[in-house]
Amino acid sequence: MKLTRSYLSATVAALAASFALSTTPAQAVELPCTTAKLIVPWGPGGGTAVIFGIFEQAIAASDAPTKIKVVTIPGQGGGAGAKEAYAAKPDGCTLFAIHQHLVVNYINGVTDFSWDGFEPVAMVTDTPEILGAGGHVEYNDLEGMIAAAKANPGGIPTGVSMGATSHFLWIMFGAKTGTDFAYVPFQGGTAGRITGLLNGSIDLGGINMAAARTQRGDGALKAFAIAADERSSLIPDVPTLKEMGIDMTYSLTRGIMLPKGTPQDIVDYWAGVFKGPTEDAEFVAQQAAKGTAVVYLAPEEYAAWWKDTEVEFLDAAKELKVGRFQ
Amino acid sequence: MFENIALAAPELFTINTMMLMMAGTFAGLLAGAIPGFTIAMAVVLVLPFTFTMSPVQGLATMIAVYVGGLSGGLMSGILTGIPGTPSSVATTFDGYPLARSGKPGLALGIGVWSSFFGGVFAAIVLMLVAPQLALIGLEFQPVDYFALIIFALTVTASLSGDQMVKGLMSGLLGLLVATIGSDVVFGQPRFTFGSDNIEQGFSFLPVLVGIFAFGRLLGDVKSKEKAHQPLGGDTHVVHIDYIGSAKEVLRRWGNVLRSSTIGVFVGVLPAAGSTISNILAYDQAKKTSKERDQFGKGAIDGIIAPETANNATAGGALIVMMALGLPGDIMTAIMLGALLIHDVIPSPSFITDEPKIAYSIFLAFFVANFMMLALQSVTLRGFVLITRVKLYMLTAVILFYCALGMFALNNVSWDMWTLFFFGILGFFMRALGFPIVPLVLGVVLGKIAEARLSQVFARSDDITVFLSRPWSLFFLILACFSLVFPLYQKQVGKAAWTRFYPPVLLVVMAYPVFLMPGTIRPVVAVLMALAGLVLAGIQIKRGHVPQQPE
Repeated sequence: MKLTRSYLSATVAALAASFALSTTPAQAVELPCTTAKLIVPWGPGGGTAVIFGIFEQAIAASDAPTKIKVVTIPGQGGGAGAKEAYAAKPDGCTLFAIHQHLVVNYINGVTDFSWDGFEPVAMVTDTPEILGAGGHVEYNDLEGMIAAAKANPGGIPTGVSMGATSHFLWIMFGAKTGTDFAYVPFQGGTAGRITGLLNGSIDLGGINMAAARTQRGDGALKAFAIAADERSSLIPDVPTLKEMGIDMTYSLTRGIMLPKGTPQDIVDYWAGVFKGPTEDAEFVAQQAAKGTAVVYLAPEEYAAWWKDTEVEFLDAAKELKVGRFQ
Repeated sequence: MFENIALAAPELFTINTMMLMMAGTFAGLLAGAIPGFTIAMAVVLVLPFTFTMSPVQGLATMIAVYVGGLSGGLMSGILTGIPGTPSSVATTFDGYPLARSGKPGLALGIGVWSSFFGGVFAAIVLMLVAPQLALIGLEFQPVDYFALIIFALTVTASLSGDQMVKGLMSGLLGLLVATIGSDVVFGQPRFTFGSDNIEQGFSFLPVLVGIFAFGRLLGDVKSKEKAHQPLGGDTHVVHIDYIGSAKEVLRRWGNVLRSSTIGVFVGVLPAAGSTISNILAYDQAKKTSKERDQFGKGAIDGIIAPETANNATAGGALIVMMALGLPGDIMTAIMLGALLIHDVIPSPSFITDEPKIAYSIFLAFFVANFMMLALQSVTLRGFVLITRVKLYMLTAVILFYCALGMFALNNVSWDMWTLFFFGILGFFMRALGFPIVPLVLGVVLGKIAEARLSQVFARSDDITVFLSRPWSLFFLILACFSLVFPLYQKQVGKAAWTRFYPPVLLVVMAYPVFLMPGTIRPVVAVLMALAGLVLAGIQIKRGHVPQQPE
């Protein structure tokens, strides 16, 4: 069902694009490089590196004159790569792959710039967060979880990367539901957190689609809700937060940025290049299998999205007095 | 099991896949052999090519690279004294001296065969008990990890030999270095003196390569005469005696078994890996060996232990990756990414749900070890030629590759400066007689220890958990005995208390094992306790007979 729908929308989008192509000036841009580097500020094998690795392949197979190469620069919780991209020459040969973490780094004082230190190019994918728990917890649904959290305020051990997006998921959830959790630092990605849930060293934590699809059948993990607008066809039994009466969506939304001051025609050129794969049904299916939806937003809409997102994060941070708002 | 192998075999044994695996093994060997290039780098480079292959083909190719890389490290480790990868640090302790004493052929032969047996052992374990083993990995909570790391740090004591105080200083310096940069929990800058560069911290790979490679090479070219000597000294022809070295390895089957077991066990723990296992295995081999005084001077057991362990760890890491979907090291993390691209999702039921892929992975791991052996017999011939190169030339080339490799890993130019600083530090430490391995251990383990400890205390401030959880208690007790061990070694046969060291160890260790879940381990614990008591009884009955000094 989901597949046919996304396939349809992809076809429609492809048609629209073929009309648009004749008028875009994108092809006219000449870059001073044949391969641009796409900085991913986390290690190889992580979600962002894998998602943009698929992009790298797709763009290599396309007729775009300039290809991309994913360059992973881990360190400082994503700050090292962001600084590198921030300082890069605005000539269209250095791109930056990022999600909401850019704002989070700013809040934590890891970087002095936020999203507006870059030129937004395109939003490309959206991976909703899943609120999960270890198989050992007593409650079986979201209501049970909230009740347990209210009975034990700030007491349920919850695995997060401190000050990262996985932390803000619970901070925002707590703000909406009047709950508070005991945060246990599981830095460096989802895998460690899922280990913690499986072996009972934490009770709650955000889990990824892969784990939600397989480990629940064995009773090792529980998934209470998905923070998306609609249920996922991969785990249709998991309700959305909205269905449960909590007006909240939360996903890792990945996109492409260019250094500040990059000329508009280069921004448009890259927006066009990254749009290509998002209209390919096979590409969409590949990403869907990882629990990631392909959502394309053009430069201006993407900038507008950043603006809203930043307000949301800054509000949460100010309210809780974290990072630079301490 | 056999029907599953029969199911997977036709998928794997196609000409195409075999050729790809051969190419992968070769690429791995090459990357592992170049000092400064890591297996992780090789696997990352190969990953994009596998996107277009079938899942079985892609995974088989990556496993081949992985296995090749693990064994490639031994070539540079033994011949130049520079570990090609962190997993062959301990290989240099005895491999390099043996090679320098005029037996590079024997050292290499033993290294290759050890790698092979370690890999095959792990492959067999993988096929027989993968799911059960993976569950042991899952028993490890942050508390237990922290205790394991404390135990690993006590290895410092035995590695320092007579230089105990200097060894401790070096280890503590390593721990201090690990705290520089951004803190592991919040990413806040720490000890950076306001420098943006220092904020990136000192990653352990550049530190390792700097200390081992740069530091050693500086020492090698200290004087003009030394710099003009070829690396291999006077040896002209290097003959690699495969049959002889295979016999040597098989004769020490106890060491092979023990080191493989350590390797698989460490591999099963998510996020431990061969960096730790090779040093632990070396340490255990040293403690149990009869030729203890040969260690560090070219003991054959000292090559067998780390090389067996690091290949076995690869098997252990694969078990966890498949059975739990949790990567044990960077290589399995990348493989997991590749599995997900093909919409294959590991889970505890993965092996029963996807027998074709699971058993293809087992088989590929098995086959890759044979390919490694075959290819090594060719590549070694080429590689030993570097023993004829004059040191000053070799130094320049190796340093170039080290710097290149360190930059390419994380694309951070600061890492090359780290390499430089620690190279100089390593040179002076060596010159002043400080053991450098404790420093490396400190840098590697410091960050993991801090992360685990912060997880423990984020849950509660109660420190009794370190004693109430069986695995934690197990490793803490082991750490205590490990600390006393050098003293025991010195006084064995002379002081009365040494007679009770083994029985007390058995009895005390039986307690945490008894507390572990399941039925097998408590039974083993009872046997351990009984054996300990019997031993103690024998010792008491015999009474104290002071040995005459020989």
